[in-house]
Amino acid sequence: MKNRLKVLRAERDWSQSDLAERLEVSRQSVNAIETGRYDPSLPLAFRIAALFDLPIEAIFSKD
Amino acid sequence: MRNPAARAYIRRFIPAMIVYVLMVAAATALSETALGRGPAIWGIALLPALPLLYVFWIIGRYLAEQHDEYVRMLEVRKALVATGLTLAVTTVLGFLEIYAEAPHLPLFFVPVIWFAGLCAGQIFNWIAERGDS
Repeated sequence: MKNRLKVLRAERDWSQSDLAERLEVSRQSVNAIETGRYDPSLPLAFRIAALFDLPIEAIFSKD
Repeated sequence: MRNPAARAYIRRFIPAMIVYVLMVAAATALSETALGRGPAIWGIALLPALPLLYVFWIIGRYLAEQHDEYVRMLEVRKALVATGLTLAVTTVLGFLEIYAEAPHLPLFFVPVIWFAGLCAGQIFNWIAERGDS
């Protein structure tokens, strides 16, 4: 699965740690999601979508 | 390991290990007394096992209380590697004992192998992480 997390984060000038803090996960998790090593669960994907005020499909897409 | 689940794990693990050391000393001392020559030896022998059973429980609690799903996935993968290694080692040694008269491995070493397997699981995680990044 591909995602636009890094772009969305950069647009807001957030570091990985900033985003991790807002999502209440580790920076390691944000890095793993951004680099495509880990696909988040649906609840976490919803939290990410809510944080960026976007629908999930605007952030995550199939390969 | 700085999140609440990890802190709770450490807070539980350290006293468990202290109690384990004390129980080993107590079991050793008691087994050499008159009590150690009667049926009470069964209870004495169990003393060091109890804190280790608690350690298995706190590992389960750590996984249940870990709310960072990616970290939990890494920990579960580590435990799966440890379990697979333990099954592999004990299966091979079991057949070596039966057919090749290899020395008997006391069952006590099964959890020891599993804990060593956690280290192998950690290495597996590092390699997988580096390989994917």
